Amino acid sequence: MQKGDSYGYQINRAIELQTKGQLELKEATLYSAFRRLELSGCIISYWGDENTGARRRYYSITDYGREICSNLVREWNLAKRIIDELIKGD
Amino acid sequence: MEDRIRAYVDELFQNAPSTQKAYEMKVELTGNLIEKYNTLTSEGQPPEQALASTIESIGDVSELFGSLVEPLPYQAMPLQQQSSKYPFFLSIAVMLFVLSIIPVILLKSIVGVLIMVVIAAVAIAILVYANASKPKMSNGGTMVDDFRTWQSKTEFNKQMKKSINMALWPIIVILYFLISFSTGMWHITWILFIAGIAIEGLVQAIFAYKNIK
Repeated sequence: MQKGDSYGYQINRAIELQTKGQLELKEATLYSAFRRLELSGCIISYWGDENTGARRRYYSITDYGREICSNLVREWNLAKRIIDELIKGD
Repeated sequence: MEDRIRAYVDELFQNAPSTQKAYEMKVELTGNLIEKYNTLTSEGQPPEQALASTIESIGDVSELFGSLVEPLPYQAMPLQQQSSKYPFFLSIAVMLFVLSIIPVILLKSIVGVLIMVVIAAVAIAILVYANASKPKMSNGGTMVDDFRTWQSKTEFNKQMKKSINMALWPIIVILYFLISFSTGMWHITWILFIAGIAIEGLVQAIFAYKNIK
């Protein structure tokens, strides 16, 4: 989402492609994540105005969301390093 | 085929709460499923198989319905809320430290100094109490939670210690000159600096104590 507004299927597709098919989220999982993120103010959503076909609900990340995201990424990297060292242990 | 997807989603949402949100969710889900189905068939999958994997990809919708009824508060920053009273106590204590100089200036006698010591003692008591009664992280569950608590706690402690020490010495210098000029007791007021070292030690002790807990 940091690369631009997107909608449900496109996001799931991007996740799938970027992980080379190893991770494909269930729709239900994805949408409950969206709801939680929206409630916490990390993202906002709006209905697109497609002329043809079904209307899409677009999601857009907020500044607060960006901040939270970079914090969590940093936290994750730190945790990953520590866990890696732990299970590598002699 | 699109109609079959629609029919399937309709059936799924029969048990959903009848709210605007649920309706929007249905429209959103239907649109995305149809698009997924179209992508799969365009990749060469036979229609029946594409439909099956599309429906399979929905997953468990019951968790979704839950979020449509009552909002789930997302605890992104659980640590900031828990110690809301702590800064309050801290500021009261600091205020008392600063105010404790007033009786010394006004009374210009040993009584003033005694009152100052008493006020400072109260301030220290508040500090200790605030630290001891500080609520701890409640929902200890996963290792990630613990890790996060530990991480932000040490970060917070470091910053607190730094800011207290940074504030301490200028305050002492100001007090030293204030008391010395107003009372003229230059021969004894240097003791403030020793008091400063004592307070710094106390701060260290409080943080060490907190870390042990």
